[in-house]
Amino acid sequence: MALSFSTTNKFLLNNQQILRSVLILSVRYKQRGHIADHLVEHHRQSPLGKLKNGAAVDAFPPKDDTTKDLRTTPHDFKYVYPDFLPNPIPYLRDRILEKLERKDMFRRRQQIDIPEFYVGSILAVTSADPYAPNRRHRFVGICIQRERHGLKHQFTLRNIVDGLGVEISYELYNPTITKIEVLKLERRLDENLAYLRDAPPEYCTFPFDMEPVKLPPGAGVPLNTIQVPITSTHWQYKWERHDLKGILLPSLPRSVRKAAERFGEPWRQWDIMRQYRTEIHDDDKAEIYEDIEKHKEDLAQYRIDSKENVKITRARPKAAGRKAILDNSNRSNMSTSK
Amino acid sequence: MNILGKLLPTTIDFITYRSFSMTVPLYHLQKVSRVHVVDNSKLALDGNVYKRMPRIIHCYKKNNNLTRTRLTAGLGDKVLLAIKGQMKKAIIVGCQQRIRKPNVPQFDKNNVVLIDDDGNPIGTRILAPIPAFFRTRGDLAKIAAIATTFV
Repeated sequence: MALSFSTTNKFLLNNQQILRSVLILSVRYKQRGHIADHLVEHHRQSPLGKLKNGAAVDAFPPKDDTTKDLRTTPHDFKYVYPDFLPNPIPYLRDRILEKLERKDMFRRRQQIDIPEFYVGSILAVTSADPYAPNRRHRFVGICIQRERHGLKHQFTLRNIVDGLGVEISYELYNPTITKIEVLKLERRLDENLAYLRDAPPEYCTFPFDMEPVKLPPGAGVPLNTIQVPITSTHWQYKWERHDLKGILLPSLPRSVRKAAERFGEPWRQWDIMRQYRTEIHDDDKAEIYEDIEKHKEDLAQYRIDSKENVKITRARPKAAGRKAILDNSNRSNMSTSK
Repeated sequence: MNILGKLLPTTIDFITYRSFSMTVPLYHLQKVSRVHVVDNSKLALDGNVYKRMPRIIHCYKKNNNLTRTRLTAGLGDKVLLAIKGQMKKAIIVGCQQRIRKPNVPQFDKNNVVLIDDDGNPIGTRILAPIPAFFRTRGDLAKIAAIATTFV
């Protein structure tokens, strides 16, 4: 919409011209006025903005209260059983499959005790290995991540064996796993501890003969607020870019820090729609929770009814075997022939 | 609820909205990959401190369908190394590639054990842990025999 004001007389502006000028200004603003997101964020954080807008800048985000006792986690099933939660992306969900998978998951949980554990807990997994001397293969490690939904839920354990870092990824419902023990139940500040690969080895070395650490009954899951230093020269990922709470970054050059700020998208914490999209709807959660409660009841009943506990008493005499029937028929034949 | 959400990041949030891709880059081994020899043979000990790290120059891999698989090598595959100026066959004993199979481990370094043309390892001991599935395969039994720890 190219307009030139040179021909018009500034002192004689009619309504149409005023409207046009306003339109031009608005269009030009839209075209040229796009302020980059990181700049908006910068201005939002600036002291001038604070004075003008009042408390809006400092109200959220909440300050990290390290003095507060963060021991207890809500015993909400979404933290205890993250494998039962479905994919938050709706078009990737298949509800019938979920229901069937849940059934299989409960059946597996009847056979083997799958304990509650979190990323940062130290586990010992024993799986069947036909070629090992005692037919079992045991691996101890710290859980660095938990991925996938439903029956395919996997967790990865990391340990340093003979000076070499080893990671094994296990499927939680794999029938070849005979035992999962939680040697140390605790949580970390992040949900993914892949940065342990770039940390000094003492942060992920756990002896294979580690004794299980017993927590007092009724205690919540302790939170380990350890800050792991990243000392490796080559990093697998750019750890400074991801809001990782449990690491201690070395001093970085200014360009790297600026890039990290831009990448971080700090306004995302106020993105309510995104939070909505990542969470599971309450109705789905209620359905899953119902199934879990029913499973717990069934499990208790199963343990009572299982073969070791109940002696089978015959209500009626054992059915006659083939030999007995033949003998009977022979006898009857002999009697009739006579 | 909001405050709780901040203190306890949910697993779902991390899985779907990770800002870094957690699909590990393809750390498979291929033609020019540098490896670390974990033998106790003389050639291994010299080769590890030579001016050039031992490199893979050929991957022996049977493939029936795809040509692409011939270019990469993983755990348990036979490769040809260029070590200390000479060529030597070897078997991959530790790989950084993440294999999504049950009980198959992923290591922090790419380790290799030297073998001769018959498949017998040259050294008498392996100085690193070895994946447990080496016991199952017949062609890797000789390496499993001289191994110290299985992972």
